[in-house]
Amino acid sequence: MSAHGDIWPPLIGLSLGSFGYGLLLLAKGSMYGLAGIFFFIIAMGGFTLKEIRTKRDKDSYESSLPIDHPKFAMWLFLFSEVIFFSSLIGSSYGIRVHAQSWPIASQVLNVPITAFNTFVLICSSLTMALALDSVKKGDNNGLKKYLMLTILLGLTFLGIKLFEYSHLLSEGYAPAKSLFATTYFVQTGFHGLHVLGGIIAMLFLLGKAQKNHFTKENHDYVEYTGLYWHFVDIVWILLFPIIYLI
Amino acid sequence: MRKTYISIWAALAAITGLELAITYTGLSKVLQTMAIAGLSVAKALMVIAFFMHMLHEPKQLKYMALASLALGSILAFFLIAPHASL
Repeated sequence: MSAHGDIWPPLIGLSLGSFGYGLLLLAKGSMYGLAGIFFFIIAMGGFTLKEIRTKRDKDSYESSLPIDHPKFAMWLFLFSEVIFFSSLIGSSYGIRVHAQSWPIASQVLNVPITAFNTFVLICSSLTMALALDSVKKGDNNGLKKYLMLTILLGLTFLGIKLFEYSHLLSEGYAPAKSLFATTYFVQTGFHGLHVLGGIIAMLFLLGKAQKNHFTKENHDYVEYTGLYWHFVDIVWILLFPIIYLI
Repeated sequence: MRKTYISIWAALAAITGLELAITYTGLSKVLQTMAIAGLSVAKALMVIAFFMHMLHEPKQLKYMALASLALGSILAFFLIAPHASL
């Protein structure tokens, strides 16, 4: 059984953490790192043994969480993305705080056009929400229309981003030129890749919508893709002021 | 539902404009940063609450979201804070 109060999930989480930290220590030449890796092996071995010994029927896998499993999986993925972007943005800002010189964003970057780009992404969040709203009412044409609009807005965002990149590169701000350029390209680049991923996912949705795949009752994938898309929007909502305004 | 979405969208767009306007005021850098940070967090929470329907999710998921946001903030804090090491 894996019900409330099971010790294994946090234990495995901790052991994974100490495994990573142990590797870091080893890389720095400290043998104490072996302790973390040892802890990981013991925890995983213990869990495997316990799983082999436990007899269970299918029903015992029922979740105690009142939410669909795929949707929960999407949320868990988004929570892990929160950690990914926190470390990316945090370390970039940490580099900025400790750097000897840092250019003033408004003198190097095109703030007005990026503010417009932020608006484009906010609009795409609205059209995505409306797409889900349409399919919930069984309006397949509305779904297709709003999905197409969302894809177009996403492509507009990427287009403006590429224009900005080419402008920066032509002014000599190559990613390896300065700490500012490195953190700028890494942060916006990873966000841009996420936008691209969202667009690809929505193209799949659009293909299915063309075949009238989604109905009033069956539109889970639209909802999950929407969750992801709104998350990517949130990342930009935070990235824009951090890079461009502050 | 549609009305809510459209009002949230309008609020998000208006706050973005406000943030941009703040950078043109003569306020001190610290005040500007605090105002813009507060407004941005408010925007992010609005998207989570309304576009991602977190308001209507079970409380377990809300706690998990809070935990991940807290962990992310702690992580970012230690990466930014001067001379912080883990």
